[in-house]
Amino acid sequence: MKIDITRTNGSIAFELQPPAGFVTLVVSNAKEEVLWELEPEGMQAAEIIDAKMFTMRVPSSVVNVAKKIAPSSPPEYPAVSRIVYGQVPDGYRELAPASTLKPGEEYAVLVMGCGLDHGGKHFFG
Amino acid sequence: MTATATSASRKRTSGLRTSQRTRNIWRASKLGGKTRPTNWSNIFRWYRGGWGRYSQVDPLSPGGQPHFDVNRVYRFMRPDVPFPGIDDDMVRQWSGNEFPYAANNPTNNTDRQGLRALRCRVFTLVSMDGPGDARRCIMGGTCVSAWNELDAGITGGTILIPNCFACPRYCTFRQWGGVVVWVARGTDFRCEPWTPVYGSGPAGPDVF
Repeated sequence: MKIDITRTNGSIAFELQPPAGFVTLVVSNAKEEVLWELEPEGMQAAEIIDAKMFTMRVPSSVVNVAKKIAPSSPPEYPAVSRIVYGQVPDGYRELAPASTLKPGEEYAVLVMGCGLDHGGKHFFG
Repeated sequence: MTATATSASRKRTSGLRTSQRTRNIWRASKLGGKTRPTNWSNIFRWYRGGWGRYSQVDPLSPGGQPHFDVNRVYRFMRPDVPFPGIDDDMVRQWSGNEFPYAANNPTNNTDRQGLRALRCRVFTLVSMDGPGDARRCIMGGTCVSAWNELDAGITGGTILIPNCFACPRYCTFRQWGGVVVWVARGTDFRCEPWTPVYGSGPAGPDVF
């Protein structure tokens, strides 16, 4: 998933190439503070009795192999081609409301697709 | 506490179990209320106050701790940028400083282990009945740092849910990633809505 950053009339927009649905969009700063977060309306907080899961940092080549476990028919959420910072697209909701971006400060946007694909980009406010 | 004293303390504690070592580290922290220690540990890495950074390479940084896979050693690559541009800062951050703590801002950062936060998504691979009135969902997926998309990992394991619901097809959660970290109970999972199961017998959906 490729992300382009565009600016129009002082607003920042994320262009997804190709247009796609996503399960997470996060804008954060270098302190890892979440400045804006979106998820599909179809997701909800889950009540889980117990969880035993591991997370392991691995090289990107191993991650690419792991992506093959993605189901052939992943969940489908509304495809979006352009997301303006602070404006929630149809079919999605905010987990964290948009904070004001400071000019000149560096930020990162991460978009995780419906499968195991993802894209990220650094930009300046 | 002086650096020499801290070094001696480290030697003394090197043969202890992790729980004992943890207590000693906390004791050292309390002593630091009067005289600031030059070294301390958050269990995962030793931090040197005078340097303003860890004394060991961040295992998650490019060129950091190697990983063994199928008899080969891998390290995170140092990304090359063929032309100057907006990505230069990212490359400098990840290539030029292998000793960071909390993005070099330990005062404000929430990076508890000196490691970056990950966003993870998992699919249900297998659904199993039990134990008891629970349903076991075996899940697998990938994780990515919100700050650096090149910093990624894999995740897997099981969740237990009430057996009156089917395993969720898809979930997301946050994790502070180490080389290997177990997801703690109470982790905030967000999943597709629970689907009630009617009747008896094994419940889906099994993705495969």
